[in-house]
Amino acid sequence: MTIQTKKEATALIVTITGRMDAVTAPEYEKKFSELITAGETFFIVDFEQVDYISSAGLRVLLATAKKVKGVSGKILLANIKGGVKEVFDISGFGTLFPMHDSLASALSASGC
Amino acid sequence: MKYRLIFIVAVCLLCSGFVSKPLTSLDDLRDKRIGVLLGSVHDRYASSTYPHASILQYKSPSDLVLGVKSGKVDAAIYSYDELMELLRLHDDLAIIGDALFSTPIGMGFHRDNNELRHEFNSFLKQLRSNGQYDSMIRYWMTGHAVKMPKLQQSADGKSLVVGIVSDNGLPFNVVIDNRMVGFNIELLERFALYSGRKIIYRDLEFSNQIAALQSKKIDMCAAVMSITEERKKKIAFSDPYYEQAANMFALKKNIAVSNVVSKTRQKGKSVSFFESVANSFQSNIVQENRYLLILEGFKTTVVISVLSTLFGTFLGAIVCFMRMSSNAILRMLAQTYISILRGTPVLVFLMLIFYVVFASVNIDPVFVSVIAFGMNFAAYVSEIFRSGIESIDKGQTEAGIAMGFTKVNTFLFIVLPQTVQRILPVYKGEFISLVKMTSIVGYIAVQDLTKASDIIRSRTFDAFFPLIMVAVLYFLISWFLMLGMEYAERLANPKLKRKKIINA
Amino acid sequence: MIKIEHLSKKFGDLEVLKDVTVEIKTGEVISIIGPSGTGKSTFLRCINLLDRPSGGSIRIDGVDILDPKSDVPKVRQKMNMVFQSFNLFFHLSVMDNLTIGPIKLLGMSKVDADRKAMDLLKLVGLAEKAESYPDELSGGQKQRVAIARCMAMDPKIILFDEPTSALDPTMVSEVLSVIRRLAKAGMTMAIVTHEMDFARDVSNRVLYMDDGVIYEVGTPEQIFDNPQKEKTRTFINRIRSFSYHIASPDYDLYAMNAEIETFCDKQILPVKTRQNLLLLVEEMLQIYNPLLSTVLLDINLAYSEKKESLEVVFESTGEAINMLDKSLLPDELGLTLIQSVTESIDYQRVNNKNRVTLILKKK
Repeated sequence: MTIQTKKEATALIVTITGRMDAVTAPEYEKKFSELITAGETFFIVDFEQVDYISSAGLRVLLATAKKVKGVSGKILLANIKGGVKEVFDISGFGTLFPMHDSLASALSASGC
Repeated sequence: MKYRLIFIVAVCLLCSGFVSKPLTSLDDLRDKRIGVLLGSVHDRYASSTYPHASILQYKSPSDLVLGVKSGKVDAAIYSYDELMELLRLHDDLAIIGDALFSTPIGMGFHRDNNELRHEFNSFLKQLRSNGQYDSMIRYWMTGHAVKMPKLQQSADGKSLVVGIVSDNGLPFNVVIDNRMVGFNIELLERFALYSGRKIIYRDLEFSNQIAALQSKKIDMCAAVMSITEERKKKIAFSDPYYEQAANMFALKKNIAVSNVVSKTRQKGKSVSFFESVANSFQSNIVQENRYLLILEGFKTTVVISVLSTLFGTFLGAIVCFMRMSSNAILRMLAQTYISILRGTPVLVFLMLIFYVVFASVNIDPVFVSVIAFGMNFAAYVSEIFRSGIESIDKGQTEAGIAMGFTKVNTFLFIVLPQTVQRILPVYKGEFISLVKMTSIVGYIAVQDLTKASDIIRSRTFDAFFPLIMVAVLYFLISWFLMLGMEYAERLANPKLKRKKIINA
Repeated sequence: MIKIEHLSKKFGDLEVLKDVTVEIKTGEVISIIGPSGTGKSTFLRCINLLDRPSGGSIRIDGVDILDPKSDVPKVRQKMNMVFQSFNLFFHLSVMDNLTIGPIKLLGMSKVDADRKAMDLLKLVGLAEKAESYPDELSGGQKQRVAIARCMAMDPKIILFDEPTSALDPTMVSEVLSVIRRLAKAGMTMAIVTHEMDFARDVSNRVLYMDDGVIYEVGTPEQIFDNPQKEKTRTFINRIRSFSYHIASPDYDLYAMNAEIETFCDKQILPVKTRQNLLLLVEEMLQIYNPLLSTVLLDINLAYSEKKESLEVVFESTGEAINMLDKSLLPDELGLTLIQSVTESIDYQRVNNKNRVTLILKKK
């Protein structure tokens, strides 16, 4: 799994590539901790290149969201599709996070 | 950097200092480099008289003279009469001191060949009594002749194989206009008439003449050989037919005595490079129709190369078959053959075959060359074949057999075509190696391309031109053969043919 | 047509074939299956005498081919073999590969041989490759040419020695379809293969060979669906199943995933099924994680083509416990995901082990 970040106005776009499973989840958690410590508060997570997610990945997403809320920040998810979307729907996570079909819509919704 | 330059200049000065120290007497040669003809009385004399000098042994008279002229030796010893002729042709050489010693010259015979020896002695007696001998001496020795007198041609009688050294030098024998000329030649031809024989000349190195006599490769040795006690132990001599002195000679400019002459350096106009090339061309090729010699040598080289290759390839296939057989004895025989043939230098093997295996057999040396080179080639070819065959995966053989081909047919139709394709590049290389290897046949008196250049060199004492020319000729032979083989390669590999069609 | 009795073959001290007796009738297609190294290929290679048997007899149309007086190459011309490594003649074009036998061995004229070769190439779908050379073909194409090459000799029987074992899975089907067509046309064939579905489809009889003998023989239905003897049963099941043993919490998830994916490839399972399976296994392992330092866990996958169902069994040692019990789980996330991809989840205590059997949803 690889994580790339790009600043777009006030939002930080985080692009994840690969699997989010028990093996890779800790990496994600660590990266996000670093970003939050660095002062970022507004995150848009791009799932375009994510092809697999398990409960481990979902749990880490949840923990991260809590942390972001702790610094009065916001986290949006974009481009969740296919099997990954199914997992989100089955687990009910689909209602927990604001989900957008595209980066553009996520950006506009954030009011940038 | 500066110090290195100074060092080089100092060394040069020192060296030139050594070289330019002129020789005043024979004593000066005490610690110098002296050249001699290998196996001659001069050789023995030099080693015993100048124990502290470096004695360089040359295989042929022309190489000896070349050694002196090119400064590879400070001086050399050779026979008086030949030297006199040489000095007439080459004004840059001169004799140092007086005669060193003198020996009688006789014809050599096999120890047991009393009949021939007595016959020659009778002939010699007759020659002396009827005054022919004296007129010959006058003609050749005093008269400095260069042309053979007209002699009655002897009828085709029994053959008499005579060993000579073709570049011995006048007055005894030398090659002019592609034929042998000299006192010895006239002597031999008169003897042929006398005894009703036909002479066949064998041009061997001086050092090999005695061995050739002993193994009956030659019936008689006319190599201007001194009669010595040591030699008498191995061969028999005729009555002496001449008494010859030996002298030391060197480049005139290195001898203090002829100071006057040496001071004047290059007399005459300086020659431009192209002019000297043209001169070389003239003297080495055109003069005396020497190009004919080259042509003859060329033909011989090609014949030996081609025949050896054919024989060697055929024999190599047989050895390969033995090497890969399931019979342990055949395998061992093949392996032994291969390691012996590959481990022996071809020259040594060639001489072994000629002097030892075929001793006492009157056999054409060209035939012997083909056998020797062929056997050597076969050892390499068989291993090349084997590696080619083993590189074809066994599955294809299995497929052929499963289809119903016999083992033999599977090999012929499936393995062999692919093997040939694969080994052609290496085979090409070995073949061209062989062509170049044939340049050693001069050792057993075959007149090939290399020998032709030796002979020309012995006349013109020009190192550069004949050697370059022959090198070019060998290169041309190799090049054309390479082209031929590449053509064969294309035929053998149909895919290359196809690619040509597509690209055309 | 071929009667083989008490065939045996020794390589030095190693007895590869012990006592093989079988009869192959004209028009029959027999498949030979079994574990590797049990003499299947050796058996085939003895039939056309590529390997010489140590004992027994082989009679083809009544002729004893082991008789030293018999003309073996002639006998081989009426049989032919397709090899695992294709063994095409590299220096010849495809066309020449096909015609060399007929021209040189059967005395056919070049014109006739060429025509027949073209027809055969059309049959195997490679007419356009007639002038190509073997090194320009893919593995599947090479094997199809090899089959055509066999047919060019008009054999009475074709022996196939693991014809698809060296092929990329994508090329296996093109070769199998050619063999299927041959079977339909009535060619007598003996095929050593690992492709069970194919063997089942195309054979009249299946021989299960083990330990140098024909252990069990029967129709495809008998052998594949109802193996009688134990070794046969184990073999059949093994082909269909996959096992993984986990002894510590430091297992390599990705290594196991790779093996699961290979298993899915072999069974040609759809991508969705594979994804669900991987998710299922990962979630289960997460749930079992606390136990892994103290118990041994065996994961078994079994695929039944007939029922089209994939059964996943998690068997763990230790005291009786059902890890999927909601009261034991920290959250229901994992379980929810598992339930979404399975048809049924069942817990049983069997042989002092905890066995959880899950059946994956179809499609």
